[in-house]
Amino acid sequence: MPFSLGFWAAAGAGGGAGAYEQISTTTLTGTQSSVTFSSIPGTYKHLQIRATLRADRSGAESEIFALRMNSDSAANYSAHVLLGNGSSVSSTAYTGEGYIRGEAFPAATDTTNAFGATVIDILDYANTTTNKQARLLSGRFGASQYAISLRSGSWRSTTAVSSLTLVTFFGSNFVAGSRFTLYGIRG
Amino acid sequence: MPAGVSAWTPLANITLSGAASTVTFSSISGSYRDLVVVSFINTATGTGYLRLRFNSDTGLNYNWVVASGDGLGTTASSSATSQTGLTINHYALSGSSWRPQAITHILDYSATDKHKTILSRGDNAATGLDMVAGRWANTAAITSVQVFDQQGYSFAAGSTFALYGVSS
Repeated sequence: MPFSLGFWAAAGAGGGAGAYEQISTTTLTGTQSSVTFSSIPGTYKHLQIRATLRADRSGAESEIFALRMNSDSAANYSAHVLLGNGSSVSSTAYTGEGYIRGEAFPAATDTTNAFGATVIDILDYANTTTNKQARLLSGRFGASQYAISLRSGSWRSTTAVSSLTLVTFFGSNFVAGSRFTLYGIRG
Repeated sequence: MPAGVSAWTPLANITLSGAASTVTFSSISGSYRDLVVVSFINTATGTGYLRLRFNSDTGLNYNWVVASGDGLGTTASSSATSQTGLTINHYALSGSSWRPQAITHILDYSATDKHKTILSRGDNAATGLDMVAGRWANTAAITSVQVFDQQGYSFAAGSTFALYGVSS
């Protein structure tokens, strides 16, 4: 390896027993309103979700995804976002929400075959003394709407994360071809 | 995937022994889920921008949105459509002491039911940093990735490029 990428890449060197392991993956063959990774073992140090997404929100070019931990839908989440939309850069804070608000991604009227993408890192997810944090790098290039964003989200709970759920903000469905994979990173 | 087996596999590692205008990862296996390209440029002979091209496609099929900051109070976001390559680092590649770099995620690269979505973060410590979301408007599986300078300048000896496969 030419240089250090941090623990992500060191895990894979040589293809042997690694620190970066796939826990679960699903590629939708039909529509689904949410995707849940449940019974997440507490044996890793960090988690990562990698996903490509599209929704069937009727008459709309975009939908927005959101992330919940342990099915908690109470107002226990906050987020900060740095966003570029092709015209300007903005920064926004969200507090007291029932999810970590994610990024917009293609929906029904967007360019055929266009999907959004996200890489979500949840650090120290099994720690029972600290609140939980996630970092989301997300983006999409649609027919007329574009976004690249870096988000920091928090869940005010010291409970170990045992499930992660991705939902849609406007209540539409993820469509076939959307893919969600959960990885565990050992410490 | 069997427990204990890493999902992140180094596929190729190129360190230039001399100047080169293009670096190509070819014959990429379709057995992974995502690709990650890591580019670490040991300066270049000009001041272009770092770009990717897939499957030697030189058509107007690349689109992106970028958000950038120069550390001097200037932030900007722009977009580009129908380009002949995907710009993954919008800061000039030249620099005697600083090495422009980019880490680029190509998600679902082998899927044939979607365009290819790219997320990238790049920087040049001397000038700024950016993040990019891109779309290659092609449903073909990606079998090759070219890294090149937008204006045709060469990467200098010592530049490194690595390709990783992330298993599903």
